[in-house]
Formats: sequence, structure tokens, C-alpha cells
Amino acid sequence: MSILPSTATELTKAFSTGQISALEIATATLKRIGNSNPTLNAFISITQERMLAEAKRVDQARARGAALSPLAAVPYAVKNLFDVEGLTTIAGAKVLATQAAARHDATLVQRMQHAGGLLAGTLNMDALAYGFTTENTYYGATHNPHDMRRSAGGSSGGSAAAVAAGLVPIALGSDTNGSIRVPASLCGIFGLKPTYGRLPRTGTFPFVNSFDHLGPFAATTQDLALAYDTLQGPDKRDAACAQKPVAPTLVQLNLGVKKLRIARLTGYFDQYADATAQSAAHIAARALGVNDEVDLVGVAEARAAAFVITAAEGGSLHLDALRERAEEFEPLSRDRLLAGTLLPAAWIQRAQRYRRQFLQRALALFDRYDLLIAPATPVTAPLLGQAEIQIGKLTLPTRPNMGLLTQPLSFIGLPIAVAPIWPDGPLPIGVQLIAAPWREDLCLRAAHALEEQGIAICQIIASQS
Amino acid sequence: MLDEKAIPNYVITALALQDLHLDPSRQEAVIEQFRLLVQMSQRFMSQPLDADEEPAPVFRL
Repeated sequence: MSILPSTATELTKAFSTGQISALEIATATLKRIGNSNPTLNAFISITQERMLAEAKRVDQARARGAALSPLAAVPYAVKNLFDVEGLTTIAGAKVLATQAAARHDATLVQRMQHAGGLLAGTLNMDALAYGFTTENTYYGATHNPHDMRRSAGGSSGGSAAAVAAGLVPIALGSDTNGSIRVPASLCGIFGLKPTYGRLPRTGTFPFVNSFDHLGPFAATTQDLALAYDTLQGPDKRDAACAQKPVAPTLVQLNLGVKKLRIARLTGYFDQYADATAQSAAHIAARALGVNDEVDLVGVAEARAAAFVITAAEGGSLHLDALRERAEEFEPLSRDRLLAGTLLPAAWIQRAQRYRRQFLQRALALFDRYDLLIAPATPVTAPLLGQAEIQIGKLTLPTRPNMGLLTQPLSFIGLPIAVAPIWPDGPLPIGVQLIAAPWREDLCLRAAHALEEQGIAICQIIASQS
Repeated sequence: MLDEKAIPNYVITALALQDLHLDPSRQEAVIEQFRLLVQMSQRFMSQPLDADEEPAPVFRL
């Protein structure tokens, strides 16, 4: 086969019909990564030996006539906060680089392997997942495949860039305040942040336990749903993981949105979105036949409370290391972690209580609507090193504010898919498709409806091997 | 009303209380970050809350 298919769905089809072997797929994938990564800097480690061994096992299973797993021969990669047996989980942080190697794969890596996936490597990120631009002082910046001068977003920037560059069809990332949705938006791909507690975090390095989510990135909604369905299932080793059975979404993708009640979020979500970001939300709303607009009250306060809890929980998690080796921490986030350790407990308690109030207010909206739409980022991809972003007449520091539109929503754990829109010019921007807790199926159906209409498109910047 | 001038002293004292010993030249950056967190906190601290509004649960089943 001269040209390697770019999606997981096409790859499994080509593999299942004998057009290509898993070993050929793995070899071609490794070649692509070898060609592109020196300039892209999406991968921190390439698990070549493991990938080839997994490919051989998948080929042997097919030769034996075994039933094919759903992701048979599909390459994937994971943010480097997922444990991968034999590798040190550095979470983008020099301060963790001397830790022992992981003895087991993270639960979600195990599930991908069990489904026939081929692990290509681990991906770059903001140190300790604290950032929205994947500008990492020790491991370098990840570049945006659509414009190499620009940020891929963060903190799962390596994951999004690897998919957008066509290096792997599926990547896994984490989202505490927007770290799946921001890079998906800036790199123009699909991403899913499931409901808080849906996917187990066992074997991943935490950031803010009460906000941490894991989820997939993909170039199509079919691949996104395929990956998400593979990752689902309870795991009692993660105390926050709901013991819920798998709720398949792939089979529901084509159900459409005609019967769904959908509204576009206004107020804060317009105020902190530039003209392009607002345009993206309008385009998505129009394509989904949405006329209703609704204002969620108290979003700015929710974002502020999330910001403060993040600093406090993150600082608390790293307090011992901050005492002993503060100089090894990422300079771009170290001082905020230090400040976070000093916050009065009454403020944190108040922020958590406000979180409950805000959650109840948001849940009330879902009595009237099944789905809400908002931009994913205030602006398209900023330049690497760009200190400030411009939102209308407002000038704000780039690094903390790329999550302005995502942070208030992960604060209350709602499931959200991001779909890539191209309002004008060469850069994409994502829209958030937001549902009530546990209704990932609705987020994915809406993303699929936009994709089917040609409104949400992932333009892979691939160099075919 | 928050006394902004109290922030540097609070930060320096709280750092010592946490056994976090920073070079004085580094303290200013932490004070700036703490000032930002104070500003953020003020946004939600003024929101009225009922006594029965306890910290948010996770969606655990």
C-alpha cells in the first residue's frame, strides 16, 4: 500500500481486508514521526521497540484467524503524564525526570493496547500540565502544524499537534482547565473531555485531583467516538471514577441533532471571545439550526474560583518538592505554585462551595436545553512567545488566559467535545459542544453533524511516507 | 476591604511557615502571583452563599 490511510477507521479497514499489515503501519508511522518530529517537537519519547512488537502480535493474531479488536493496528500516542511501562513519567517536568520508570501502563494505555492499538510514544506538554501553550523550558515548545511559528496550545499540545500533523490518528491527553479543548481548538482537530469521573486516571500523574479529566483527540468524530468507547469502563483504583458501565457512542453518531434542544452561550462567552471566535460559535449554531441564546450567570466568578483552586491543589501536591528543589521546577509556573501553597483555607473552601452553586445553576440550564455551544478559545493560535492576546479592546497575558472559555466548564465537570471551525484565514478555532453530565453521546452527535455538513473539518498537515 | 499593603508581609511570613525558603530576589515573583490569586479570590468571595451550600460533590455513582 503506497499511501498510509490517515484515520483509525480507514486503517482498521485496510488491515482487516489484508491490504496492509500492522508491521507496515508501524514502520510507516515511525518513519513519519522521525521525519516530522525534529521540527514539530510533539514527541518526547518514541517507543519504537514496543510499537514494532505490538504490531507483530497483532499480525500474528490475524494470521491465527483471531477476531480483530476495534483498534487493531491503529497507532496512537499519549501525553507524557500517562505511565508507560519502562519509561519515567515526567509530566513535562525536569523535577520528575529522575523518578523511577513506571512498572505498569496506565489503565487507559492498557485499554488501548488490549484493543489492538500500537503505542508510538509519549507527547510533549506544559510542565506538570500547568499552562495552555506547551512552551516548555526544558523540553522545548511544540509547534502548531498549521503555522510552525505558532503555539499548538496546551497543556496537551504534543497530543493535538501529533494528530494534526498526521503522525498518529489518535492521541490521549488530559484536561484540568482546558488542556484537551485548547490544543484541539488551536490545532484544528476534534477532542473530547468526558464528564468528570467518566474515564479512570489510574497510572497518570495528577495536577488538580478535583478537576483532572482524561480524553482522546482524533481527526474525525468516528475515530474520536471509537477511541472514547474503547477507553470507557469503571476502575475502582481511581476514587473519582464513576462505576458506570460502558455507554457506547459510536453507534449513536448518526442519530443527528434534529430533536435536540440547543442554545448558544452568550454573555461571558461573547465578552471573552474575539470576532473570529464568536464567528465560529455562530457558524456552528447556524449549522445546527440553533436560534436560542442563553446566558449562564456567574461564569467569571467560576473561572476565578477554578483558577484559585488550581493553584492551591497544584501547590499542595508539589509542596515537598517545592521545599527541596524549587529551582528544578518550570520557571513559567513555579511561582504560581508557590503562591498557591499560601492561600487561606477559608478561600479554598469558599471556592469549592461556589462551585456547587455554579454547578446547580448550570444543571438548571439542561432542564431547558440538551446542548450548549461556546467558542473553545478566545483567539486562534498565538505566536510562540507571544506575551499578550487581544480580545476586542481587551489585552490580556497569553499563558493564563487561553483557558478563559474552558476553565469555568471543567470546573463543574461537564462533558464537552471540541469541533474545528475555519471562520476565516488559514487558522482554525474550536467550538465547545457542552452537554449535561454523562451525555458525551450528545456532544459527539453534534460534532458529527457539523462534520457531516463540512462545517467542522480537520485538515491534516501530513507528509506521506 | 482588603489591605493590599498586607500582601508582601503575608507572603513572606506564610512562606516561612510552610518551610519554603526563597532567596529574597525570588520573593517578589511569588508576591506578584499571590496578588493575582487575591484578585481572583475577591471575585467569588463576595458571592452570597447559603449555609447549606457545601463543597461541590463529584458526579460519583
